[in-house]
Amino acid sequence: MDRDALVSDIKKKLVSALNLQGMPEDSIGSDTPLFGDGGLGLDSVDALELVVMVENEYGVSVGDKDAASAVFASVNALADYIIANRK
Amino acid sequence: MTRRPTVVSCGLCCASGTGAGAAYRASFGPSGALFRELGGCGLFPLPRRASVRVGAACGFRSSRLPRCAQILFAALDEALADSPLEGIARDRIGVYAGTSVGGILESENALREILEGSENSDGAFKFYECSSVAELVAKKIGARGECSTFSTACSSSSLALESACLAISEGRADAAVVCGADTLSRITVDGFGSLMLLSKSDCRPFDAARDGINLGEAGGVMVLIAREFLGGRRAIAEFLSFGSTCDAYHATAPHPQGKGLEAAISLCLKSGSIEPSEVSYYCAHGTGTGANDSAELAALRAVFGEGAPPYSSLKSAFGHTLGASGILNAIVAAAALCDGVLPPSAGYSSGASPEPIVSPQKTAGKIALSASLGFGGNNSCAAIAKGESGPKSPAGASARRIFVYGAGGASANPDLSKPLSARSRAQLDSDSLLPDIPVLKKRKWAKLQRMFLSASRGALAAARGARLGERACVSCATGLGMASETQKFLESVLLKDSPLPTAFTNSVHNAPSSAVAEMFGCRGYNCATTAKEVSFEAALMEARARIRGGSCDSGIVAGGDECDFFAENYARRNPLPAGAGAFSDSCAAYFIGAEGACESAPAAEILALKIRRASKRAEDEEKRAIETLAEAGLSPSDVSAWFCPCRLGGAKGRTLEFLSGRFGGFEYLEDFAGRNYSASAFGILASLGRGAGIFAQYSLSSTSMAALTVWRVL
Repeated sequence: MDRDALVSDIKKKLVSALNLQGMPEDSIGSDTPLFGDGGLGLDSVDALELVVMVENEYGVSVGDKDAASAVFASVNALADYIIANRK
Repeated sequence: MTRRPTVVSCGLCCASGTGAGAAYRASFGPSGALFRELGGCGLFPLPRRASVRVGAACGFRSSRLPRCAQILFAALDEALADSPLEGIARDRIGVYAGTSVGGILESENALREILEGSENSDGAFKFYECSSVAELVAKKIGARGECSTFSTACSSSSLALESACLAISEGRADAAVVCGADTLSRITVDGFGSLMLLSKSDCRPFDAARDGINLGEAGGVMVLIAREFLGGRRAIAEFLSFGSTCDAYHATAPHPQGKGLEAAISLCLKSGSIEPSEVSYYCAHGTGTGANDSAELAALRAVFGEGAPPYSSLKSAFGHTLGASGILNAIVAAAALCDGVLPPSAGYSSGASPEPIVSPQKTAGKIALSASLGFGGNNSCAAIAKGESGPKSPAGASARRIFVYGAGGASANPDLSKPLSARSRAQLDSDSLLPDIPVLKKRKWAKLQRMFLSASRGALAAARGARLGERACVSCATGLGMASETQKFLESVLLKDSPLPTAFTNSVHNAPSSAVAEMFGCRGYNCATTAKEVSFEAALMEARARIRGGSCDSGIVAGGDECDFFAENYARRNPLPAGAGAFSDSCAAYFIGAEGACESAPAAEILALKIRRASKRAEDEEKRAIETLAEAGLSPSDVSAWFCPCRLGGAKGRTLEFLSGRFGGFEYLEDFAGRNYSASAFGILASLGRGAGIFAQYSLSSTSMAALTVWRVL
């Protein structure tokens, strides 16, 4: 999967993992912050939910909680992490 | 004063074995001394999991009873060994239980069998219903008074204790058997695991290097008696007061500054007229997670300043026993006051302000506080006094009248004044609920939560200028709780070995009540009751008691259930009677309060509410209904319509038919709102808009609990 396809695939899976039914996936900006204000406003439980999603869907493990904040900064950040770590 | 709830006996079964005294002594041991590897407990297979150390109760094997009942019955036998209830009329003995997951362990096995394709028919799902905990105890001891189960995650049994004490001080019961029980299970082990909250070794509550919890299991029992019935019994302790609140902040995380707990402790001290300096011990919730312990420390600093009482956590001795931890704390705290030695906080070395006690500490003090926190920002604090020493009289019930100001419903039936058209299933589409709320805001609420939110919003819309905040309670009833989310979580574990954290945090029975509190900012008492077909009446009873007692002025009371997997299974176990309505997703909610709770004029006034075990004789039930009406100055001829939630089969069905005949015909709520455990929530809603008059509702549960509610539409 090339990078563009991966980015759009991640968005699709975010909609499902975060229960965003009804929200068009392209409305999630590739650089929109996933956590904190001004973005999707995800919280620490969502971060864990995404750890599970990334492991199941891409076979990539995120390791510990502290690493998660950088990996899940945005869809682009997550795509970079998956590309760098997938087998 | 004479109705002060007095503890006359205790029973406890946990990692230290059976015996409240043995547990008290074990609480002086080092951290993790009683913990063992979960894998060695033989409870369920543990694929891929390394080391999980737990405080398991040993010596229980599979039987017809679920494990939580086996453990609880061991505690019950201890508590009843000296016949503390002798001479108390059976219909004056209430049973109040607290459990987070009840018999989920057995349901998990049943679900696994179904997922593997084999037909499960052993009825193990009935223990999924948390109400089975109070029911099994009431049946075993022959209690015929109120019988309710509270399921507010880790504060469950603290809420059961509070409810029992209020029932005694209000005069609804002369004695109460209060229980707390929870076992290890996949849902809790994998759930807390998925949240990365399990300690890698042995927990160290309040320590700077704490890394999470060890789960444990326990069954605890306290027998309470109104002081006037004490007779020759020895009083171990008395409950002086309680304070229960909701953070209304987050589904799982406590408020970072412990604001809700601070309010709970302050309310407890204030309502018991206790000076902070009189508190000799604070038995902490102290789970050993970063968030819990720092919230608790912040609350202690805020309430006590520099003068915090000696405190410790028992979790490093017994593990976190979830819904049982509140009663476990209360039992050990009472024992510590009696013995005069406080147990240390094992595993702590440094980093907390104030610091817990690290070695046994002598005390001559008379008053201890016991605290519990639960998912949903649920906080509870109890004040316990040694022996028969409580000099202050309890607040007692006031004569405050209770009004209904607004009602709302979520139902597949668009016009509740007309019969439901669906034949077998009346489901709601989760995505269509709360259509005006953006997806980003509502995404975490599952269907049942959205139903409660939607109905509550309807109730508040009719109550202009409703004052909510810290003096508003939320009391939500549900027979099956968050069944779909529970199923979703268990499937993620059983099928994929990949537990979903959000489904876990959403699986607790109080997920709806905490969502309602958060959305509307209700920071007072918050509970989830479950009692089969009379769950709603149990919830109304709690809200009414809080408003009458003065700790709240108003509140949202609601009852709702969905008709998915677990409900279907219920239908398979219980053949439906002739004329049964379609199974449905439904929820009804009310904004109730004392006089002047909002600017709108009240729509109705609650005149009477009574819950007890039904007599097998229908004539007795008629007599009791007439008596209850008479207590409210009414007779059956004053009642303009009688409601009944659901038809039942067999002897109970004949009782309903008899009463229906005597009272001029029941209107069955299942015909309008559909059939589920919370159909009884729709009675008041159905009566509004019919003009002024007296209405009554007789609800009979499949486990023979009867509730009579009488109200006047204004």
